[in-house]
Amino acid sequence: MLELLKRMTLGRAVQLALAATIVTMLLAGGSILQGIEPARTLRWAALLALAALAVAYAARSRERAWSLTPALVAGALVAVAAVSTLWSANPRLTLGRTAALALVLVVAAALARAESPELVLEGVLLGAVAVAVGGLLLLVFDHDRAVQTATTVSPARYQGLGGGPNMAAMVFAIAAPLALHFIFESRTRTMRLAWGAALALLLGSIAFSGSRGALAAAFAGLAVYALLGGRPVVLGTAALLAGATLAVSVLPSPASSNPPQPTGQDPAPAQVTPAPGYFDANLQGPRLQDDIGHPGIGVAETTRRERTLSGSSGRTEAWRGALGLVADRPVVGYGFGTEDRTFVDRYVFFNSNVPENSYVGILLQLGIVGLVVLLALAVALVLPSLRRGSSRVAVAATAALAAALVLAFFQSYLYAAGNAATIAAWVCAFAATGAAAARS
Amino acid sequence: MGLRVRGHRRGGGTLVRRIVLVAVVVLVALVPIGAWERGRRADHESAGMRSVLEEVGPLDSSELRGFRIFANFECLVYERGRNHFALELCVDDRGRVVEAIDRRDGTAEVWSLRDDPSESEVVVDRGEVNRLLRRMNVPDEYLPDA
Repeated sequence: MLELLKRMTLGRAVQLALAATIVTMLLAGGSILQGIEPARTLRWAALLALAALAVAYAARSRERAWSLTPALVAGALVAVAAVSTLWSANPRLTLGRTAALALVLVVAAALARAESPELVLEGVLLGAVAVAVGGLLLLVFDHDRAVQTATTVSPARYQGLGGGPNMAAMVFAIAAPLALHFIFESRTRTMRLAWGAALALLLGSIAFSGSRGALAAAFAGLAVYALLGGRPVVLGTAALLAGATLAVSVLPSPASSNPPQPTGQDPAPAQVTPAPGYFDANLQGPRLQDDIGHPGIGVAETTRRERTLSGSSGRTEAWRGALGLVADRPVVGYGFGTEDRTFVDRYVFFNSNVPENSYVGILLQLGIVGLVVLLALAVALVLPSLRRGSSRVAVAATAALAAALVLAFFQSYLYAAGNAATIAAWVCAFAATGAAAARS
Repeated sequence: MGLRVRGHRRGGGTLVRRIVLVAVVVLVALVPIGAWERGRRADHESAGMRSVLEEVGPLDSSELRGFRIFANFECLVYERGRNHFALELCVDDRGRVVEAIDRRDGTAEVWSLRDDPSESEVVVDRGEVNRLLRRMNVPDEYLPDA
Protein backbone atom coordinates (compact mmCIF):
# COMPACT_ATOMS: atom_id res chain seq x y z
CA MET A 1 0.00 0.00 0.00
CA LEU A 2 2.85 2.33 0.96
CA GLU A 3 4.66 1.40 -2.26
CA LEU A 4 1.52 2.11 -4.29
CA LEU A 5 1.19 5.50 -2.59
CA LYS A 6 4.84 6.29 -3.35
CA ARG A 7 4.33 5.37 -6.99
CA MET A 8 1.23 7.54 -7.19
CA THR A 9 3.09 10.45 -5.63
CA LEU A 10 5.97 10.13 -8.08
CA GLY A 11 3.49 9.82 -10.93
CA ARG A 12 1.74 13.02 -9.88
CA ALA A 13 5.11 14.78 -9.54
CA VAL A 14 5.99 13.74 -13.09
CA GLN A 15 2.60 14.96 -14.27
CA LEU A 16 3.02 18.35 -12.62
CA ALA A 17 6.63 18.70 -13.83
CA LEU A 18 5.48 17.92 -17.36
CA ALA A 19 2.73 20.54 -17.24
CA ALA A 20 5.12 23.08 -15.67
CA THR A 21 7.76 22.41 -18.33
CA ILE A 22 5.24 23.02 -21.11
CA VAL A 23 4.10 26.29 -19.52
CA THR A 24 7.67 27.47 -18.87
CA MET A 25 8.80 26.66 -22.40
CA LEU A 26 5.90 28.61 -23.80
CA LEU A 27 6.58 31.61 -21.56
CA ALA A 28 10.23 31.57 -22.69
CA GLY A 29 9.09 32.69 -26.12
CA GLY A 30 5.85 34.21 -24.98
CA SER A 31 3.97 37.47 -25.10
CA ILE A 32 4.73 38.60 -21.52
CA LEU A 33 8.00 40.39 -22.15
CA GLN A 34 9.05 40.58 -18.50
CA GLY A 35 8.68 36.82 -18.21
CA ILE A 36 10.83 35.84 -21.18
CA GLU A 37 14.30 36.05 -19.61
CA PRO A 38 13.50 34.21 -16.37
CA ALA A 39 11.50 31.60 -18.28
CA ARG A 40 14.41 31.00 -20.66
CA THR A 41 16.56 29.94 -17.72
CA LEU A 42 13.76 28.17 -15.89
CA ARG A 43 12.71 26.03 -18.86
CA TRP A 44 16.00 24.12 -18.87
CA ALA A 45 15.85 23.68 -15.10
CA ALA A 46 12.29 22.41 -15.49
CA LEU A 47 13.33 20.04 -18.28
CA LEU A 48 16.23 18.67 -16.20
CA ALA A 49 13.95 18.17 -13.20
CA LEU A 50 11.39 16.46 -15.42
CA ALA A 51 14.09 14.21 -16.89
CA ALA A 52 15.23 13.17 -13.41
CA LEU A 53 11.66 12.45 -12.31
CA ALA A 54 10.84 10.60 -15.53
CA VAL A 55 13.92 8.37 -15.26
CA ALA A 56 13.12 7.64 -11.60
CA TYR A 57 9.53 6.83 -12.57
CA ALA A 58 10.72 4.54 -15.37
CA ALA A 59 13.15 2.79 -13.04
CA ARG A 60 10.22 1.83 -10.82
CA SER A 61 8.54 0.18 -13.78
CA ARG A 62 11.39 -2.13 -14.71
CA GLU A 63 9.10 -5.13 -14.99
CA ARG A 64 6.84 -3.43 -17.47
CA ALA A 65 7.01 -4.53 -21.12
CA TRP A 66 8.20 -1.89 -23.53
CA SER A 67 9.28 -1.65 -27.12
CA LEU A 68 12.97 -1.05 -27.71
CA THR A 69 12.68 -0.13 -31.40
CA PRO A 70 11.51 3.50 -30.99
CA ALA A 71 14.23 4.13 -28.39
CA LEU A 72 16.87 2.76 -30.77
CA VAL A 73 15.62 4.85 -33.69
CA ALA A 74 15.46 7.95 -31.48
CA GLY A 75 19.03 7.17 -30.42
CA ALA A 76 20.00 6.98 -34.10
CA LEU A 77 18.47 10.42 -34.71
CA VAL A 78 20.43 11.89 -31.80
CA ALA A 79 23.61 10.13 -32.98
CA VAL A 80 23.30 11.54 -36.52
CA ALA A 81 22.63 14.98 -35.03
CA ALA A 82 25.69 14.71 -32.78
CA VAL A 83 27.96 13.52 -35.59
CA SER A 84 26.77 16.43 -37.75
CA THR A 85 28.86 18.62 -35.44
CA LEU A 86 31.78 17.54 -37.63
CA TRP A 87 30.39 19.22 -40.78
CA SER A 88 28.38 21.99 -39.16
CA ALA A 89 29.42 25.63 -39.58
CA ASN A 90 28.40 26.13 -35.92
CA PRO A 91 29.67 23.04 -34.05
CA ARG A 92 28.89 24.39 -30.57
CA LEU A 93 25.37 25.28 -31.57
CA THR A 94 24.88 21.86 -33.14
CA LEU A 95 26.19 20.06 -30.07
CA GLY A 96 24.11 22.15 -27.64
CA ARG A 97 20.89 21.69 -29.58
CA THR A 98 21.58 17.97 -29.98
CA ALA A 99 22.00 17.62 -26.22
CA ALA A 100 18.74 19.47 -25.65
CA LEU A 101 16.84 17.26 -28.10
CA ALA A 102 18.39 14.17 -26.51
CA LEU A 103 17.07 15.31 -23.14
CA VAL A 104 13.55 15.71 -24.52
CA LEU A 105 13.70 12.24 -26.09
CA VAL A 106 15.01 10.73 -22.86
CA VAL A 107 12.02 12.23 -21.03
CA ALA A 108 9.63 10.90 -23.66
CA ALA A 109 11.19 7.42 -23.78
CA ALA A 110 11.28 7.18 -19.99
CA LEU A 111 7.65 8.21 -19.69
CA ALA A 112 6.71 5.55 -22.25
CA ARG A 113 7.43 3.07 -19.47
CA ALA A 114 5.12 4.84 -17.04
CA GLU A 115 2.68 2.60 -15.21
CA SER A 116 -0.14 4.91 -16.17
CA PRO A 117 0.07 6.42 -19.68
CA GLU A 118 -3.18 8.19 -18.80
CA LEU A 119 -1.33 10.11 -16.13
CA VAL A 120 1.33 11.22 -18.62
CA LEU A 121 -1.20 12.31 -21.25
CA GLU A 122 -3.15 14.12 -18.57
CA GLY A 123 0.08 16.00 -17.73
CA VAL A 124 0.39 17.18 -21.33
CA LEU A 125 -3.26 18.19 -21.37
CA LEU A 126 -2.97 20.03 -18.05
CA GLY A 127 0.01 21.98 -19.40
CA ALA A 128 -1.97 22.97 -22.49
CA VAL A 129 -5.02 23.97 -20.46
CA ALA A 130 -2.86 26.04 -18.11
CA VAL A 131 -1.45 27.89 -21.14
CA ALA A 132 -4.96 28.43 -22.52
CA VAL A 133 -6.34 29.73 -19.21
CA GLY A 134 -3.28 31.98 -18.82
CA GLY A 135 -3.98 33.35 -22.28
CA LEU A 136 -7.55 34.20 -21.34
CA LEU A 137 -6.38 35.98 -18.17
CA LEU A 138 -3.89 37.96 -20.24
CA LEU A 139 -6.67 38.88 -22.62
CA VAL A 140 -8.64 40.32 -19.71
CA PHE A 141 -5.78 42.17 -18.01
CA ASP A 142 -3.48 43.10 -20.92
CA HIS A 143 -5.39 42.89 -24.17
CA ASP A 144 -2.58 44.32 -26.31
CA ARG A 145 -0.22 41.54 -25.27
CA ALA A 146 -2.77 38.79 -25.84
CA VAL A 147 -3.78 39.91 -29.33
CA GLN A 148 -1.47 40.46 -32.29
CA THR A 149 -2.37 43.74 -33.96
CA ALA A 150 -4.07 43.69 -37.36
CA THR A 151 -2.07 44.70 -40.41
CA THR A 152 -3.09 45.62 -43.95
CA VAL A 153 -2.94 41.96 -44.94
CA SER A 154 -3.83 40.12 -41.75
CA PRO A 155 -6.61 40.53 -39.20
CA ALA A 156 -5.95 40.83 -35.47
CA ARG A 157 -5.07 37.38 -34.15
CA TYR A 158 -5.36 35.97 -30.64
CA GLN A 159 -2.01 34.79 -29.29
CA GLY A 160 -2.67 34.52 -25.56
CA LEU A 161 0.55 33.64 -23.73
CA GLY A 162 2.32 32.73 -26.98
CA GLY A 163 4.91 34.95 -28.62
CA GLY A 164 2.87 34.78 -31.81
CA PRO A 165 -0.52 33.41 -32.80
CA ASN A 166 0.92 30.01 -33.80
CA MET A 167 2.95 29.28 -30.67
CA ALA A 168 0.34 28.33 -28.07
CA ALA A 169 -2.01 27.05 -30.79
CA MET A 170 0.55 24.34 -31.62
CA VAL A 171 0.33 22.95 -28.08
CA PHE A 172 -3.47 23.18 -28.15
CA ALA A 173 -3.65 21.21 -31.40
CA ILE A 174 -1.64 18.33 -29.93
CA ALA A 175 -3.68 18.37 -26.72
CA ALA A 176 -7.13 18.57 -28.38
CA PRO A 177 -7.52 14.82 -29.08
CA LEU A 178 -6.39 14.11 -25.51
CA ALA A 179 -9.19 16.31 -24.17
CA LEU A 180 -11.70 14.48 -26.36
CA HIS A 181 -10.37 11.19 -25.00
CA PHE A 182 -10.77 12.24 -21.37
CA ILE A 183 -14.34 13.40 -22.02
CA PHE A 184 -15.27 9.89 -23.08
CA GLU A 185 -13.17 8.11 -20.48
CA SER A 186 -14.14 10.15 -17.40
CA ARG A 187 -16.29 8.33 -14.91
CA THR A 188 -18.06 11.30 -13.39
CA ARG A 189 -20.24 13.88 -15.04
CA THR A 190 -18.27 16.69 -13.39
CA MET A 191 -15.03 15.52 -14.95
CA ARG A 192 -16.68 15.09 -18.33
CA LEU A 193 -17.91 18.68 -18.10
CA ALA A 194 -14.49 19.89 -17.02
CA TRP A 195 -12.71 18.17 -19.92
CA GLY A 196 -15.46 19.38 -22.27
CA ALA A 197 -14.81 22.96 -21.17
CA ALA A 198 -11.08 22.37 -21.63
CA LEU A 199 -11.61 21.11 -25.18
CA ALA A 200 -13.84 24.08 -26.01
CA LEU A 201 -11.16 26.40 -24.65
CA LEU A 202 -8.39 24.73 -26.69
CA LEU A 203 -10.36 24.70 -29.94
CA GLY A 204 -11.69 28.22 -29.37
CA SER A 205 -8.17 29.50 -28.76
CA ILE A 206 -6.98 27.85 -32.00
CA ALA A 207 -9.92 29.28 -33.95
CA PHE A 208 -9.35 32.86 -32.76
CA SER A 209 -5.59 32.57 -33.30
CA GLY A 210 -6.27 32.00 -37.00
CA SER A 211 -3.45 29.44 -36.98
CA ARG A 212 -4.28 27.28 -39.98
CA GLY A 213 -1.61 24.69 -39.29
CA ALA A 214 -2.90 24.20 -35.76
CA LEU A 215 -6.44 24.01 -37.11
CA ALA A 216 -5.49 21.27 -39.58
CA ALA A 217 -3.48 19.44 -36.93
CA ALA A 218 -6.28 19.53 -34.35
CA PHE A 219 -8.76 18.23 -36.94
CA ALA A 220 -6.37 15.45 -37.92
CA GLY A 221 -5.93 14.47 -34.27
CA LEU A 222 -9.67 14.44 -33.60
CA ALA A 223 -10.30 12.45 -36.80
CA VAL A 224 -7.65 9.85 -35.97
CA TYR A 225 -9.02 9.43 -32.46
CA ALA A 226 -12.54 9.03 -33.79
CA LEU A 227 -11.59 6.62 -36.58
CA LEU A 228 -9.24 4.41 -34.53
CA GLY A 229 -11.66 4.45 -31.62
CA GLY A 230 -14.34 3.13 -33.95
CA ARG A 231 -17.23 4.57 -31.95
CA PRO A 232 -19.92 6.49 -33.89
CA VAL A 233 -20.55 8.89 -31.00
CA VAL A 234 -16.88 9.86 -30.91
CA LEU A 235 -16.79 10.26 -34.69
CA GLY A 236 -19.90 12.46 -34.62
CA THR A 237 -18.53 14.58 -31.79
CA ALA A 238 -15.19 15.04 -33.54
CA ALA A 239 -16.91 16.09 -36.78
CA LEU A 240 -19.15 18.53 -34.90
CA LEU A 241 -16.17 20.06 -33.10
CA ALA A 242 -14.21 20.39 -36.34
CA GLY A 243 -17.15 22.11 -38.06
CA ALA A 244 -17.75 24.52 -35.19
CA THR A 245 -14.07 25.42 -34.94
CA LEU A 246 -13.84 26.03 -38.68
CA ALA A 247 -16.98 28.20 -38.59
CA VAL A 248 -15.53 30.37 -35.82
CA SER A 249 -12.18 30.71 -37.58
CA VAL A 250 -13.69 32.09 -40.80
CA LEU A 251 -15.92 34.70 -39.14
CA PRO A 252 -15.38 38.11 -40.73
CA SER A 253 -12.59 39.90 -38.92
CA PRO A 254 -12.35 43.64 -38.35
CA ALA A 255 -9.28 43.90 -40.56
CA SER A 256 -11.12 42.42 -43.55
CA SER A 257 -13.79 45.09 -43.52
CA ASN A 258 -11.86 47.97 -42.03
CA PRO A 259 -8.17 47.47 -42.65
CA PRO A 260 -5.70 49.76 -40.96
CA GLN A 261 -3.86 52.03 -43.37
CA PRO A 262 -0.08 52.02 -43.69
CA THR A 263 1.41 55.06 -42.01
CA GLY A 264 4.26 55.44 -44.49
CA GLN A 265 6.63 55.91 -41.57
CA ASP A 266 9.48 53.55 -40.86
CA PRO A 267 9.28 52.51 -37.19
CA ALA A 268 13.08 52.38 -37.05
CA PRO A 269 14.32 55.52 -38.79
CA ALA A 270 17.70 55.51 -40.50
CA GLN A 271 20.75 56.02 -38.35
CA VAL A 272 22.84 56.88 -41.39
CA THR A 273 22.21 59.82 -43.68
CA PRO A 274 23.95 58.87 -46.93
CA ALA A 275 26.17 61.35 -48.70
CA PRO A 276 24.56 63.02 -51.73
CA GLY A 277 24.31 60.66 -54.70
CA TYR A 278 24.23 57.53 -52.55
CA PHE A 279 21.46 55.63 -50.78
CA ASP A 280 20.96 53.27 -47.86
CA ALA A 281 19.58 50.23 -49.68
CA ASN A 282 17.86 48.98 -46.53
CA LEU A 283 15.62 52.05 -46.68
CA GLN A 284 15.36 52.86 -50.38
CA GLY A 285 15.91 49.57 -52.16
CA PRO A 286 14.52 46.05 -51.97
CA ARG A 287 15.08 44.80 -48.43
CA LEU A 288 17.07 41.57 -48.42
CA GLN A 289 14.22 39.85 -46.57
CA ASP A 290 11.87 40.82 -49.43
CA ASP A 291 14.26 40.30 -52.33
CA ILE A 292 12.36 37.44 -53.94
CA GLY A 293 8.73 37.69 -55.06
CA HIS A 294 8.25 41.45 -55.18
CA PRO A 295 7.24 43.17 -58.42
CA GLY A 296 10.10 44.45 -60.58
CA ILE A 297 11.97 47.54 -59.42
CA GLY A 298 9.88 50.58 -60.30
CA VAL A 299 6.73 48.47 -60.78
CA ALA A 300 3.89 49.07 -58.31
CA GLU A 301 2.13 46.22 -56.53
CA THR A 302 -1.48 46.44 -57.73
CA THR A 303 -3.02 43.40 -56.03
CA ARG A 304 -3.82 43.32 -52.35
CA ARG A 305 -2.73 40.05 -50.78
CA GLU A 306 -4.81 39.41 -47.68
CA ARG A 307 -4.23 36.43 -45.46
CA THR A 308 -6.83 33.77 -46.28
CA LEU A 309 -7.78 30.40 -44.84
CA SER A 310 -6.26 28.54 -47.79
CA GLY A 311 -3.26 30.81 -48.41
CA SER A 312 0.26 29.72 -47.52
CA SER A 313 1.52 33.07 -46.14
CA GLY A 314 4.53 32.77 -48.42
CA ARG A 315 5.41 29.29 -47.18
CA THR A 316 5.45 27.73 -50.63
CA GLU A 317 8.09 30.24 -51.81
CA ALA A 318 10.07 29.72 -48.61
CA TRP A 319 9.87 25.91 -48.94
CA ARG A 320 11.02 26.15 -52.56
CA GLY A 321 13.97 28.27 -51.47
CA ALA A 322 14.80 25.95 -48.57
CA LEU A 323 14.66 22.91 -50.86
CA GLY A 324 17.09 24.73 -53.14
CA LEU A 325 19.46 24.93 -50.19
CA VAL A 326 18.83 21.25 -49.45
CA ALA A 327 19.84 20.42 -53.02
CA ASP A 328 23.27 21.92 -52.34
CA ARG A 329 23.93 19.54 -49.42
CA PRO A 330 21.33 16.78 -49.88
CA VAL A 331 22.70 13.70 -48.13
CA VAL A 332 23.55 14.87 -44.61
CA GLY A 333 22.61 18.56 -44.60
CA TYR A 334 24.14 21.59 -42.93
CA GLY A 335 24.34 20.31 -39.36
CA PHE A 336 21.73 19.85 -36.66
CA GLY A 337 20.39 23.02 -35.07
CA THR A 338 21.54 25.28 -37.90
CA GLU A 339 18.14 25.65 -39.58
CA ASP A 340 17.70 29.27 -38.51
CA ARG A 341 21.26 30.12 -39.64
CA THR A 342 21.16 28.35 -42.99
CA PHE A 343 17.70 29.39 -44.08
CA VAL A 344 17.48 33.09 -44.95
CA ASP A 345 14.10 34.71 -45.41
CA ARG A 346 14.32 36.46 -48.79
CA TYR A 347 10.62 36.11 -49.64
CA VAL A 348 8.32 39.06 -49.77
CA PHE A 349 5.23 37.27 -48.43
CA PHE A 350 7.04 35.19 -45.83
CA ASN A 351 8.04 36.28 -42.37
CA SER A 352 10.06 33.81 -40.34
CA ASN A 353 13.67 32.83 -39.79
CA VAL A 354 12.87 29.15 -40.40
CA PRO A 355 11.01 27.55 -43.34
CA GLU A 356 8.05 26.61 -41.09
CA ASN A 357 7.99 22.95 -42.05
CA SER A 358 9.68 20.37 -39.85
CA TYR A 359 10.27 17.94 -42.73
CA VAL A 360 11.98 20.59 -44.84
CA GLY A 361 13.75 21.72 -41.66
CA ILE A 362 15.20 18.28 -40.91
CA LEU A 363 16.24 17.93 -44.58
CA LEU A 364 18.08 21.20 -44.25
CA GLN A 365 19.82 20.15 -41.04
CA LEU A 366 20.51 16.45 -41.55
CA GLY A 367 19.66 15.84 -45.20
CA ILE A 368 17.94 12.78 -46.56
CA VAL A 369 19.58 10.66 -43.85
CA GLY A 370 17.94 12.76 -41.12
CA LEU A 371 14.53 12.74 -42.81
CA VAL A 372 14.63 8.96 -43.22
CA VAL A 373 15.52 8.46 -39.55
CA LEU A 374 12.80 10.91 -38.43
CA LEU A 375 10.18 9.16 -40.56
CA ALA A 376 11.38 5.77 -39.32
CA LEU A 377 10.90 7.01 -35.77
CA ALA A 378 7.37 8.18 -36.56
CA VAL A 379 6.54 4.78 -38.10
CA ALA A 380 8.05 2.92 -35.14
CA LEU A 381 5.91 4.99 -32.79
CA VAL A 382 2.66 4.76 -34.75
CA LEU A 383 2.62 1.13 -35.82
CA PRO A 384 2.12 -0.60 -32.43
CA SER A 385 -1.06 1.32 -31.69
CA LEU A 386 -2.55 0.58 -35.13
CA ARG A 387 -2.86 -3.07 -34.17
CA ARG A 388 -6.37 -4.32 -33.64
CA GLY A 389 -7.43 -4.13 -30.02
CA SER A 390 -5.22 -1.24 -29.02
CA SER A 391 -6.23 0.40 -25.78
CA ARG A 392 -8.12 3.69 -25.90
CA VAL A 393 -5.26 5.49 -24.23
CA ALA A 394 -2.92 4.22 -26.97
CA VAL A 395 -5.41 5.51 -29.54
CA ALA A 396 -5.53 8.91 -27.82
CA ALA A 397 -1.74 9.17 -27.77
CA THR A 398 -1.59 8.13 -31.44
CA ALA A 399 -4.16 10.79 -32.28
CA ALA A 400 -2.00 13.41 -30.56
CA LEU A 401 1.00 12.11 -32.51
CA ALA A 402 -1.03 12.40 -35.74
CA ALA A 403 -1.81 16.02 -34.84
CA ALA A 404 1.89 16.62 -34.18
CA LEU A 405 2.91 15.11 -37.53
CA VAL A 406 0.34 17.20 -39.44
CA LEU A 407 1.46 20.28 -37.53
CA ALA A 408 5.01 19.53 -38.65
CA PHE A 409 3.94 20.37 -42.24
CA PHE A 410 3.26 23.95 -41.12
CA GLN A 411 5.79 24.59 -38.36
CA SER A 412 9.50 23.93 -37.85
CA TYR A 413 9.46 22.46 -34.37
CA LEU A 414 9.79 18.65 -34.05
CA TYR A 415 13.52 18.91 -33.25
CA ALA A 416 13.46 22.26 -31.39
CA ALA A 417 13.84 21.23 -27.75
CA GLY A 418 12.95 24.65 -26.39
CA ASN A 419 9.54 24.67 -28.05
CA ALA A 420 6.62 23.71 -25.80
CA ALA A 421 4.96 21.77 -28.62
CA THR A 422 8.06 19.63 -29.11
CA ILE A 423 8.03 18.00 -25.70
CA ALA A 424 4.24 17.61 -25.88
CA ALA A 425 4.57 15.88 -29.26
CA TRP A 426 7.32 13.44 -28.28
CA VAL A 427 5.82 12.57 -24.91
CA CYS A 428 2.51 11.70 -26.61
CA ALA A 429 4.33 9.83 -29.39
CA PHE A 430 6.26 7.61 -26.98
CA ALA A 431 3.20 7.20 -24.75
CA ALA A 432 1.44 5.70 -27.77
CA THR A 433 3.99 2.96 -28.15
CA GLY A 434 4.27 2.50 -24.37
CA ALA A 435 0.54 2.05 -23.95
CA ALA A 436 0.37 -0.34 -26.91
CA ALA A 437 3.29 -2.41 -25.57
CA ALA A 438 1.72 -2.64 -22.13
CA ARG A 439 -1.56 -3.80 -23.63
CA SER A 440 0.02 -6.56 -25.69
CA MET B 1 6.61 -4.35 -33.86
CA GLY B 2 10.39 -4.71 -33.59
CA LEU B 3 12.36 -5.40 -30.46
CA ARG B 4 10.47 -5.80 -27.25
CA VAL B 5 11.92 -5.84 -23.78
CA ARG B 6 10.50 -6.85 -20.44
CA GLY B 7 12.68 -5.72 -17.58
CA HIS B 8 16.30 -6.85 -17.87
CA ARG B 9 15.61 -10.52 -18.37
CA ARG B 10 15.10 -10.65 -22.12
CA GLY B 11 17.21 -8.22 -24.08
CA GLY B 12 18.33 -9.72 -27.33
CA GLY B 13 21.73 -8.32 -26.33
CA THR B 14 23.60 -9.72 -29.32
CA LEU B 15 21.13 -8.27 -31.77
CA VAL B 16 21.30 -4.86 -30.09
CA ARG B 17 25.11 -4.99 -30.16
CA ARG B 18 25.03 -5.76 -33.90
CA ILE B 19 22.62 -2.92 -34.55
CA VAL B 20 24.82 -0.51 -32.60
CA LEU B 21 27.92 -1.69 -34.52
CA VAL B 22 26.22 -1.14 -37.89
CA ALA B 23 25.00 2.28 -36.71
CA VAL B 24 28.53 3.30 -35.70
CA VAL B 25 29.91 2.25 -39.11
CA VAL B 26 27.17 4.23 -40.88
CA LEU B 27 27.82 7.28 -38.69
CA VAL B 28 31.54 7.19 -39.43
CA ALA B 29 30.76 6.97 -43.15
CA LEU B 30 28.61 10.08 -42.92
CA VAL B 31 31.50 12.29 -41.78
CA PRO B 32 33.44 12.43 -45.09
CA ILE B 33 30.15 12.82 -46.97
CA GLY B 34 29.22 15.82 -44.79
CA ALA B 35 32.65 17.40 -45.23
CA TRP B 36 32.58 16.80 -49.01
CA GLU B 37 29.09 18.34 -49.34
CA ARG B 38 30.18 21.37 -47.33
CA GLY B 39 33.24 21.92 -49.50
CA ARG B 40 31.36 21.38 -52.76
CA ARG B 41 28.67 23.88 -51.82
CA ALA B 42 31.31 26.40 -50.74
CA ASP B 43 33.04 26.04 -54.12
CA HIS B 44 29.76 26.55 -55.97
CA GLU B 45 28.72 29.60 -53.97
CA SER B 46 32.22 31.07 -54.11
CA ALA B 47 32.24 30.69 -57.90
CA GLY B 48 28.94 32.59 -58.10
CA MET B 49 30.18 35.34 -55.78
CA ARG B 50 33.41 35.58 -57.77
CA SER B 51 31.47 36.07 -61.00
CA VAL B 52 29.50 38.94 -59.44
CA LEU B 53 32.74 40.46 -58.14
CA GLU B 54 34.21 40.26 -61.64
CA GLU B 55 31.08 41.88 -63.06
CA VAL B 56 31.38 44.71 -60.51
CA GLY B 57 34.99 45.33 -61.44
CA PRO B 58 36.89 47.67 -59.12
CA LEU B 59 35.04 48.19 -55.83
CA ASP B 60 35.60 51.92 -56.20
CA SER B 61 33.57 51.96 -59.40
CA SER B 62 31.66 55.01 -60.58
CA GLU B 63 28.56 52.78 -60.50
CA LEU B 64 28.68 52.37 -56.71
CA ARG B 65 25.31 53.73 -55.57
CA GLY B 66 24.55 52.52 -52.09
CA PHE B 67 25.20 50.38 -49.07
CA ARG B 68 23.58 48.27 -46.41
CA ILE B 69 24.72 47.96 -42.80
CA PHE B 70 24.08 44.75 -40.83
CA ALA B 71 25.46 43.33 -37.62
CA ASN B 72 27.68 40.72 -39.28
CA PHE B 73 28.39 42.19 -42.70
CA GLU B 74 28.07 45.26 -44.89
CA CYS B 75 27.02 45.44 -48.51
CA LEU B 76 27.95 47.63 -51.47
CA VAL B 77 25.30 48.19 -54.15
CA TYR B 78 26.16 48.95 -57.81
CA GLU B 79 23.92 50.18 -60.60
CA ARG B 80 23.74 49.04 -64.20
CA GLY B 81 21.86 51.32 -66.57
CA ARG B 82 18.67 52.47 -64.81
CA ASN B 83 18.75 49.58 -62.38
CA HIS B 84 20.20 51.11 -59.20
CA PHE B 85 20.29 47.76 -57.36
CA ALA B 86 21.75 45.60 -60.13
CA LEU B 87 24.72 44.10 -58.31
CA GLU B 88 25.38 43.73 -54.62
CA LEU B 89 28.39 42.46 -52.69
CA CYS B 90 28.27 41.73 -48.98
CA VAL B 91 31.53 41.57 -47.03
CA ASP B 92 32.17 40.44 -43.47
CA ASP B 93 34.59 41.94 -40.94
CA ARG B 94 37.54 40.00 -42.37
CA GLY B 95 36.89 41.05 -45.95
CA ARG B 96 35.36 37.72 -46.97
CA VAL B 97 32.56 38.07 -49.51
CA VAL B 98 29.66 36.26 -47.83
CA GLU B 99 26.88 37.12 -50.25
CA ALA B 100 26.53 38.40 -53.80
CA ILE B 101 23.32 39.25 -55.63
CA ASP B 102 22.76 39.81 -59.32
CA ARG B 103 19.50 41.68 -60.07
CA ARG B 104 20.35 42.77 -63.58
CA ASP B 105 17.37 40.98 -65.12
CA GLY B 106 14.96 42.25 -62.45
CA THR B 107 14.96 39.11 -60.33
CA ALA B 108 17.45 38.33 -57.61
CA GLU B 109 20.02 35.62 -58.20
CA VAL B 110 21.75 35.02 -54.90
CA TRP B 111 25.04 33.32 -53.98
CA SER B 112 25.60 33.16 -50.28
CA LEU B 113 27.81 31.73 -47.57
CA ARG B 114 26.27 33.87 -44.86
CA ASP B 115 25.77 30.72 -42.78
CA ASP B 116 29.32 29.48 -43.38
CA PRO B 117 31.60 32.51 -43.92
CA SER B 118 34.80 30.68 -43.04
CA GLU B 119 34.37 28.63 -46.23
CA SER B 120 34.25 31.68 -48.52
CA GLU B 121 37.09 31.65 -51.02
CA VAL B 122 36.45 35.20 -52.23
CA VAL B 123 38.19 37.96 -50.30
CA VAL B 124 38.35 41.72 -50.91
CA ASP B 125 40.33 44.47 -49.24
CA ARG B 126 38.34 45.27 -46.11
CA GLY B 127 40.16 48.60 -45.75
CA GLU B 128 38.93 49.57 -49.20
CA VAL B 129 35.36 48.62 -48.27
CA ASN B 130 35.59 50.75 -45.12
CA ARG B 131 36.92 53.68 -47.13
CA LEU B 132 34.00 53.46 -49.58
CA LEU B 133 31.46 53.18 -46.79
CA ARG B 134 32.96 56.25 -45.06
CA ARG B 135 32.72 58.13 -48.34
CA MET B 136 28.98 57.36 -48.36
CA ASN B 137 28.72 58.83 -44.84
CA VAL B 138 28.64 55.60 -42.83
CA PRO B 139 30.03 56.50 -39.37
CA ASP B 140 33.09 54.67 -38.06
CA GLU B 141 31.07 53.18 -35.20
CA TYR B 142 29.35 50.90 -37.75
CA LEU B 143 32.57 49.74 -39.35
CA PRO B 144 34.92 47.00 -38.19
CA ASP B 145 38.64 47.61 -37.94
CA ALA B 146 40.24 46.75 -41.24
